[in-house]
Amino acid sequence: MKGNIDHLWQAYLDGEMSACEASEFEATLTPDQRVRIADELTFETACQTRLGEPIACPDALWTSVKADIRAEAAHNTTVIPFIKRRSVWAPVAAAAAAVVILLAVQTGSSLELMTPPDSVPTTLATGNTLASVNQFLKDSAITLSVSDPTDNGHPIQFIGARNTLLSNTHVKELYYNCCGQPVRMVVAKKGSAAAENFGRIENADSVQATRNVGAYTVALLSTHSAANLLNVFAAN
Amino acid sequence: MGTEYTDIMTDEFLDGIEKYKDEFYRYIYRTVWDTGVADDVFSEAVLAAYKSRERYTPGSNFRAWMYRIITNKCYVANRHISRRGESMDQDGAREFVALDEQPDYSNVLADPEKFLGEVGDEMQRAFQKLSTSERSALLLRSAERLTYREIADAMDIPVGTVMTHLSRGRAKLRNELLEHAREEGIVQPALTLLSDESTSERKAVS
Repeated sequence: MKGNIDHLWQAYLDGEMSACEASEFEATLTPDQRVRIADELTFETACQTRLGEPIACPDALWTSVKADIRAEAAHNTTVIPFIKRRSVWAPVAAAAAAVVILLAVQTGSSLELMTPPDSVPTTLATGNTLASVNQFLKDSAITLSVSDPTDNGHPIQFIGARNTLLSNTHVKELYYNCCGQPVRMVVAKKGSAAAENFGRIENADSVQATRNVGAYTVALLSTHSAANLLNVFAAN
Repeated sequence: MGTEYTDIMTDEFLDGIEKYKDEFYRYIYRTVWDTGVADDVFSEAVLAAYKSRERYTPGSNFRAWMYRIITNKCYVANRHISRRGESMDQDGAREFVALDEQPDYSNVLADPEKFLGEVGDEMQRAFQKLSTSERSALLLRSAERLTYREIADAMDIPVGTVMTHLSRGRAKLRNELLEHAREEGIVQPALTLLSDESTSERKAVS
């Protein structure tokens, strides 16, 4: 047995394998190894529970940190007039800064905008039926429709859709529940600033997969592995 | 205009931190293991992140980016209080500890919840004996549920080294807990440490 238990065991125990890899790995185990790995999983789960016991950030500390950040922000904004009085380049710098700021604001990039959803927004524009999301897409002049997702061992449920802005572009967001985890799909016009934004960050952890469907680019965001969910657009 | 922009960015940043503040604080506390130091590290890390927020790529993993800053601050804090004179990659070259080289847990695996309940605060003491790298990797994985890739990014080390830290950390933690359990009579004294018996042999004996 020694030598057979290696990085693969640890990756399996830590849930780092895909469902397919895990099945292949399980098929290589002897009955004794299955018993051992089941025991290890039980122990690791118990450790996770102990280590994951909540420790809240003290309210006073958080209040103090927020005050420090606000003070830092205020300090930064008061520096600009001082520079303006002292340097002949200041007006040029200020104008350039204004342009940069204007562009940044218009780009509308947000800290959390393209991160996977931890939860589903409370205000959605549709009900949780396939018909309502397709009606929503049609009413929004989006020439796409979605089909019922295939449950490949992953219980999937449509939650709702809404309009939102990404990179100053109007996009549609579709929310699903896959295995109890929220999944967000963003539909943007192909070539739009939002769609280009998908490509730019596709290799980052936030965007799991993108696909061009007709005149649109669709991105899938979730901490849960659900890239196949983009198949709901397969009929287009 | 400038003031307005700064305020928007500050609010966004604080919203991002607020979402994860409890888990960040828990990670810091369990890495430095001192409330006063944890408070200082939390404040310093958040302020440092705010000052360098231009380096954050919108859309990338904000949580992992913050863990990287926090982990660095924890290392600095642990060095300052002379708890451990180590660098983040100092013990990165050590070997992976395979599962069958780890302590035999067969006597406690039947009811790990009960065992961990019985060892009580020893879990904390055992945790403090790990290196900062081992403790960080173990906490980020077991408590904060980060993936290997995210832990590698947070600790600025390769994924293989993350696995090494995890295996070594787990082995040390188990050794410490078993040692304590044997001394306290929680498990049978005959229990072997770092056993290389095969599972089938163990099962046959039990």
